Amino acid sequence: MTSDWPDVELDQVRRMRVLAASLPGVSYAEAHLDIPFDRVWAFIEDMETSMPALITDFRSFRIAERAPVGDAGEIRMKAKAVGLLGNRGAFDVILKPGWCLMQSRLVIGGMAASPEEGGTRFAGCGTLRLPGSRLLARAEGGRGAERIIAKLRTQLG
Amino acid sequence: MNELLDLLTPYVTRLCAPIALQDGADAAQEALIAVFRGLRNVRDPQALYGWVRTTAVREAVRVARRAHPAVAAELEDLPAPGSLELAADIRDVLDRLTPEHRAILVLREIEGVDEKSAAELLSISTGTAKSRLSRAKNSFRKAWTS
Repeated sequence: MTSDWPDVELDQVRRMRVLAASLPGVSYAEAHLDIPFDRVWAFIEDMETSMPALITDFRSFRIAERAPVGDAGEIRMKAKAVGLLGNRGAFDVILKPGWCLMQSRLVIGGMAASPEEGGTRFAGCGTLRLPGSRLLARAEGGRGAERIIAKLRTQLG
Repeated sequence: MNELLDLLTPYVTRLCAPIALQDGADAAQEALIAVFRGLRNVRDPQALYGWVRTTAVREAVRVARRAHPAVAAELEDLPAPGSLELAADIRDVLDRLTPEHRAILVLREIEGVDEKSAAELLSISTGTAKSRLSRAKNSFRKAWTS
């Protein structure tokens, strides 16, 4: 009988809200984009292009390994980021339609998108995996995630 | 964290949707936020699902009541069994119940929780839970088979 009971899907942006709410000191922002979901996500999926374009701290972002997981279009990747000062970071990336989660030893960042009437709802978040990240986030006031959205609008506008 | 979200989301949505109905996605989101914020307090992994269930049901009732504060029809006010109105589907029947009644149906029929635990979870007496459940099940069964 339970298969007939009402059920609901949690879209990727809602999932990102849950994730962001559980990360200490997270910078989080979301917005409606007047751009179709497929176009937004095709840009994000091209991570070697999109990450340096959206995240000002990255000079480059290179995918070193790529492995599909399951049949839901999920890909697990290992990536090397090079920062503006030449600093390097190794990231584990989970990428699937509407969902991207990146973790290094020092940083967790995520992006999510879901189709919404007239375009796409897009969410971005990030935090440091260090003591004091709450203080930093308070000082920064979520502007990091807002900057990513602004840059995404510029790139796809 | 990503894996835990993948693991718990279907369970939480399955509990929240029949209780919060049109606000099911909001309820599931709120429930998962409460779950993830409270995870560090869960000492025994075996107790995880019980704790998630309690959190999800309480959040679903809270969200449903907040979204639709008007009192829904009590079970006693439901149309008579066999009437055209009642011969609809599960959703129609659930729509006519209060969030608390939907919660007790979900706990008993989907989760198989005993009446005493369901009553405790919903902060009502076992007697009230028993009578509500009996009426809810009767209405439900008749609606479903009519």
